[in-house]
Parts: sequence; C-alpha cells; structure tokens
Amino acid sequence: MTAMMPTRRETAEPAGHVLSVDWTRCVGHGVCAAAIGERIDLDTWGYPIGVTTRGEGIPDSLVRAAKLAVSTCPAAALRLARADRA
Amino acid sequence: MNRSRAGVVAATGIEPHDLPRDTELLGLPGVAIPGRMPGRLPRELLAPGSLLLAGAEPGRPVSWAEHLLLWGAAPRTEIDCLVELVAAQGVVGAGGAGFPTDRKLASLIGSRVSHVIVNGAEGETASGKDGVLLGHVPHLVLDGAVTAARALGAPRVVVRISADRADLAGSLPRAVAARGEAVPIEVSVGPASFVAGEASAVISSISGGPALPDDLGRPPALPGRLGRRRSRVLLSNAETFARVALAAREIGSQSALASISGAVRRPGVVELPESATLAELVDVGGLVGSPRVLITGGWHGRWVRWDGLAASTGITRASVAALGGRWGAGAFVWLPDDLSAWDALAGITRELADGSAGQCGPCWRGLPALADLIERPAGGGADRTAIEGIMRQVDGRGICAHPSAAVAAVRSALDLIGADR
Repeated sequence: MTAMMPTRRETAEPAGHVLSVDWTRCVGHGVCAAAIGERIDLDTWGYPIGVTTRGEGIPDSLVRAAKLAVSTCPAAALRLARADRA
Repeated sequence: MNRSRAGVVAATGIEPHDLPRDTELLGLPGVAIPGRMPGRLPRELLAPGSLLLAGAEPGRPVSWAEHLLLWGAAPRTEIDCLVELVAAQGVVGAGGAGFPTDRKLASLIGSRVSHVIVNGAEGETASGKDGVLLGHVPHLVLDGAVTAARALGAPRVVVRISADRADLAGSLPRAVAARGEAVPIEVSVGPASFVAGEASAVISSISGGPALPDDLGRPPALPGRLGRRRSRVLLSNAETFARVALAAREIGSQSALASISGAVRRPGVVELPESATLAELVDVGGLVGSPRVLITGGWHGRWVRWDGLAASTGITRASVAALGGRWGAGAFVWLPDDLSAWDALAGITRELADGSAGQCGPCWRGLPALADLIERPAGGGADRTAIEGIMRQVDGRGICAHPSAAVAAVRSALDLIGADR
C-alpha cells in the first residue's frame, strides 16, 4: 500500500505553472504517474498523490512532463495553467 | 433591548419515545442518538423575550401579522449600509463555516446578483435549528433574505429545504403568500442527504444540475441562468438570514441557537444567551447519566472530553474553539455513558461514508474503507496505523469540504477515545 502522502520536492526553481486535478473526473487510471513520476504517485486506489484541486506548482523543467500527463489522462482530469493565471 | 431580549431561554425538545422513525440506534439497544435531528417541536420551554424564536409556539409558525407586531416590516437599506449594520452586529455564517457575513455581502457589491438563496437544507445530521427557524419564525428568516435581495438588487429569493421536511414545503409557501412581497420568493425542495446541503450543491441543484458539490473555489454562480453573463448568488444559512434581519434593525445577536441531543432527556433546539455555559445549555434538555464525551459541531465537528472544564465553557464560537471543539452549525451531542465511544464513532464514520456524494474517488472509496477499519471489533483489529494511512489519503482530496471535515472529526475522536482505552 502506498499510503505515503507526497514529500514535496523542494526546488530552487520557481514554479511557473500549476497542475491541478478535477476529482470528479479522475477515476484512477494512473497514467499521470507514468507521465510525471517526479511529482505524482498513486494512492491505495490508484488516485494521484501530488496534485490537488487548487493546484501544485510545476517548475519549468517539469512542464513538458506535466503537459504529457494532461494530454494523456484518459479522463481529462488534469489541468495545467500558468501560475499567474491559476 | 438587545441584552434583555437575549436574556432568555427558549428550548424545544422531544421525549425519547417521540423520536422520529428514522432515528438510528447506535450501539446498545435503547440508547438513541437521533439519526437526524427533528425540526418539529412537540414541546418547548419559552421564556418571554427570546430573540430569534420570539413569539414561537410549538408546531405553529409566527404569522405575518404577529411578526409585524413583534418586529415591524423589514427595513429597506442600501447595500453599503446593510454591510455596516451586519458588520456592527458581528453576524457570521451559521451553517458551519462561520465566515463573516458582512464580507460576503461586500464581495457582491457591483456584481449582478441573480438569486438570494436561503439554505435551509440542513444536511448536518445532528442539527435541527434551521428547520426550527423556518417552521416557527419563517418571517424573520424571510426578512433577512428580502432585505439582502433588495439591497443587492437581486430579482428573486429561493428558500432551499430538504425533502424530508414535507411540513415546511407546506407552511413556507403559505408564509410567502401572506407577505405579498414584491420580490418573488420560491420554495425549492432538494434531496435529503448529507452533502446536498453543501453550498455549491444547493447552487448546482437550483440551477438545474445535480444536488452535488460543484467546483471548490469558484465564485458562487448560476451558470447560464440569466443569459450569457454569469450572474452571482448570495447563499447563506437560514439562521444567518434571521440574524441579518435583526442586524438590519440594529439588534445584536447575543443569543446562541444550538441543537442538543444524545444523552439528553429532551433533545431539541435551544436558544440561550451567549453568556450561558454548555452546562446550562444541556440542562435545558436534561443530561442523562454521566457522559464523558461531547461531540461539538455535529458529525463534522470535534470530540471533546465532557468534564468540569467543558461544562463551564461558554456557548460562543470562540469559547468552544478554545476548548478544542468546533461550533459549526451549533450541534452538540453528548455520548450516552452506556454507549461505547468506539461503537458511536463506528456508526458516525459509516454515516459520513454514506454521506459522500460519490463524486471524488478518494472520498467515496476512502471513507467506507475508514468505516470498515473502525467497525472492526475494538481491541481485535482496529489498527490506528492503518486508520491513519487511510485518513491521510482522504484528507484534502475532494472538491468539497466533506472528506477533510470527516477526517478531522474522526481524528479528534480517535485522539480523545484512543487516550482513554
């Protein structure tokens, strides 16, 4: 059981983007954890740990991976926004 | 007038044998914790001069004529003035969150407000106060809503009640008709479920969607209702509107409205001056036995030890918070001393799990898993580490406050009874 909540990886890089999840859409496919494993783990049921409703900061170095997670999510449950527009 | 008016006790209650059919038995047979607080009042103690419940008699609403004699017509105020009056009386949201109502009103200045919504759905199981207000002093609640609607220029008022209050569905439209108000007032009946009373669920339902919580953090809006432009809504709890009605008349809210149940001879809704203590609050209904646990703030609230310190605690948000409790919607449940606290927690956790709207995976999968773990025989398998692991996976992971609030409540219970075992 992966009951661990995310350990925030502290980084000096500013978070230019924000990745958020719509829990009403997410059904736990788990594709996001493969796309951006640096940030997302899966919980006991397969739901992503490391994203929230309000959004978590994504540094520029992870934006490609985050975009991949958004575009490959079968439930279209993820959203990436510029931090200044989130 | 304020202090003297509030210096009064209005208590309503029902005998244990009068408990409604949906009363749930938790734990030992014969010990009843209301599955849902009754909003009807077969009996009440009412001293002259109660504030919100002034003029109320059991089972009979204060009529429009009586209301006008008591309070006069609802004052007309500009929105800036209403904001000041509401701020001066310190009115806060009485549905649970306690957000300052003047700030909520002020945030709508300059917006197009399509609806003023009175939330009387009262999804919180242990709370009965909103039903009592709407059933007994409907015009005070409606005064607050009409005053706000006029000030904000909102074209309609909607009063939301839950489907298990058929009596209100009958009495409220009669009250509305008696007023002959220029602002149309509609009575809307929604499903009787725990989360259906959540603010965004009420708004979603009234706008034609399901009675389920909507996106957190979005400003309240009824999309697509008034043309393409998104209009905003003012939604507040029924008690909050009653207090707005008083504030608009420059009358303070130095009374507390609370629902008392559990080890209480006459569970029900009590109005007491804010200067009273929790001991005085429960004395109105009559404490049964020697309870050791008080649940403050209902099923979403906090468990505290019922001892001398708790008994002498004042019935204000701040005092209850200082005790480690939570005022919430003012629901207080004393756990009967012959009921195992663990069994009570198991029953309440199951109800919280059943209360999930089923929209967000971590909530609808996590809360039943949590209830399963707690239902295991105490001593046998209740594994605090596993319970904590599930709670961490539920906390904060949904679009409404239900999963986080449920976890916080269960955690406070475990902190309290874990130490006792």
